[in-house]
Amino acid sequence: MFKHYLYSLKDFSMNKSLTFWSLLFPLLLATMFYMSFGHLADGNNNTLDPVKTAVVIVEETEATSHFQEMLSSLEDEHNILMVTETDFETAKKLLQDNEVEGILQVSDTVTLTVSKSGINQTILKSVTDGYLHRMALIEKTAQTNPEKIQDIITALSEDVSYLKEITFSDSSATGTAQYFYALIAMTCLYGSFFGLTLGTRLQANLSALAMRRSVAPIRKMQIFICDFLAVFTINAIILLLLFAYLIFAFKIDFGNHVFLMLLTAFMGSLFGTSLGTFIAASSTKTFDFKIGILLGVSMVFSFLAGLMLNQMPQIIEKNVPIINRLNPALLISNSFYCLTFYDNYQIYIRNMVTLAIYVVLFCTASILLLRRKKYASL
Amino acid sequence: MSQSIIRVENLVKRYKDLIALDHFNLDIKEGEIFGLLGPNGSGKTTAINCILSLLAFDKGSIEVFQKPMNPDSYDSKRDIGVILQNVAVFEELTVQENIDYFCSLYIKDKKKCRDLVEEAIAFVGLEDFRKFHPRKLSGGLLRRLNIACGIAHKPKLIFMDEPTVAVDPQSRNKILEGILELNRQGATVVYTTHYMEEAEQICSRILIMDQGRNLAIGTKEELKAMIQTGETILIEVPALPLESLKEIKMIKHVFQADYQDGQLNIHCTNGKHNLIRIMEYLSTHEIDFGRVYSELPTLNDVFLEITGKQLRD
Repeated sequence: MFKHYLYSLKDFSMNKSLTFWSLLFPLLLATMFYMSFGHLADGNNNTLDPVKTAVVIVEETEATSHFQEMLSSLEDEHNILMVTETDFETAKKLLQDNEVEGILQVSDTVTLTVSKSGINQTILKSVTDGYLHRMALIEKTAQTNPEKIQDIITALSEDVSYLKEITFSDSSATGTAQYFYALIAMTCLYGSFFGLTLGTRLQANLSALAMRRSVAPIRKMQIFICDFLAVFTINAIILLLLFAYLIFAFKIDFGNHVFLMLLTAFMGSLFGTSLGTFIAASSTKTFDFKIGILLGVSMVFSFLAGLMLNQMPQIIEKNVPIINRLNPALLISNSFYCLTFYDNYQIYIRNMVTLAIYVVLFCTASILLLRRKKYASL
Repeated sequence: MSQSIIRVENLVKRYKDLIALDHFNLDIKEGEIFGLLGPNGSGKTTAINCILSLLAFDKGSIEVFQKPMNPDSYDSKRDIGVILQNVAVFEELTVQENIDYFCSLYIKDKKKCRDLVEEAIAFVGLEDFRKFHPRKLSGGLLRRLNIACGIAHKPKLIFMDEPTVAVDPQSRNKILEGILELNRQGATVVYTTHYMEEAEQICSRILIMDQGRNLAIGTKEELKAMIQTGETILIEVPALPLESLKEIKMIKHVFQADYQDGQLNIHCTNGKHNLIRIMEYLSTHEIDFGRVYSELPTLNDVFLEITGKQLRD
């Protein structure tokens, strides 16, 4: 039996298509994720280049000095802007030569001139709008409650944040890790493609290989176990490689529960494999048709887990909570969150048990569908 | 007399409205090379798949080694080897690993399995390709690997379902010689084909089937004796008067004569001097003729007379 396991291991692992989608594709996506927003993880905004800005003082007023104070704060303290104070003609030339991203003309009001659109221009617009909003508020207060004007100016001049990020665990993981949880969950579900291949190779009406194995004096259960273990081994190695890649290459911090997270991923992988096997065993449709079914099922699970609309789990929790208890994609990602942000083992264990029940159900159903079977047509 | 190794009685298999096997019967004795001969779609493969308990059937009974055959008839399966019509091997395992895998499904003893694998490799002549992956093998070599995977465990009963389809003549001869050798070593072989030459060459008994029914069964001599044609004479005749064709049909032992495109095609029953009598007629009536052929009946003639159509129609 061990020999059959080893041969299955070799055959599955050398399958180029399966290996690409299960290993290389997630690694590629991980790299793209990291390149897109991985640097946000270190929480250091200094990695953003300051926006070069030309400032033209049209008329010196009290408001102008307030604005200049704000600009110097953004330049010196926050390193968001790099200000060049100049006349309008020079500023225009600087803008034409792409030496600055925009021109701020300051008088009683502030006007922004840009020659193109982009992130830097959006930052400048945000700065301008924020300032104008504050000015409007001060003017309105001066008209309606002049006695409060000083309090308002003081309040607005302070940089106050009313939100504070806290974690319920002693984890050091950052919010960015969440993006990679989805990736790991996807990789787990991709185990279903291995499962589909496994199931197809056990059905004499779907593959010649299965015909040959069906006429051998060996129980299908034995072949199933060897193939399933082989597929699980490959998926486990793929997940280990993915974790290693994220942790060592990109320094993604998964907090203090890496081993439990691996366990979650392995359970997710078992789920994926058993789901694929069940879909293969439950129908005589073509392999491509079943791939379509698997993709569809995975997308529905992922949609309900909030992949496209992150409030989805909350909406479901309010209206049909049972779906959240049963949705395997949410069970996997929720387990990661539990470990990282809440240290909530009760929910974690419930999720793991639910996934385990799925695995047992799908495997049992697959074996029952496959064993001792004579086919209506081959 | 040898005992029955396979006995099939009144087997009926339907695919919705299509009757694939229509009260099909079979009795194969130990030590035979039994040919199932019929055109494509005649039910040969369906019959084998039913016997192997892969296909469910509607009616009838099947016994292999004097025991009913079921999906879990592991004792019987241990002595059966199957060479499928489609090549069934692992793409990512080498020739040696593939044979080892399938042999080990039957043989638990590791050393014995290793020895059998080596024997099978030598038997099909794949010694130089043992480390090759199937995708690197030519069609003929791939067929040989397919055979090795089916016979490595030295089965007593071997099913071969069209093993020479799409195979070059050299590999084909090698395969046919191999089948004869397996039979000499004691294996009973059930061989399906639509190539009558192959069936004639290696089979000790042949069942001709069409549309899921047994049409005729026997040795090739017995089958040929069942039909009227004992000899077919072909003569190149540039011009033949219609009256002469009628007179040729009247010659002793001639039961059918056609003239088309300058070729006179005469079917005679089994009798002496058929050719001499026809040549005498042509000479006497001063009818010019060119090349002359005389052929003994083939299994295709048998099939043609029984069904009214060619075996490869």
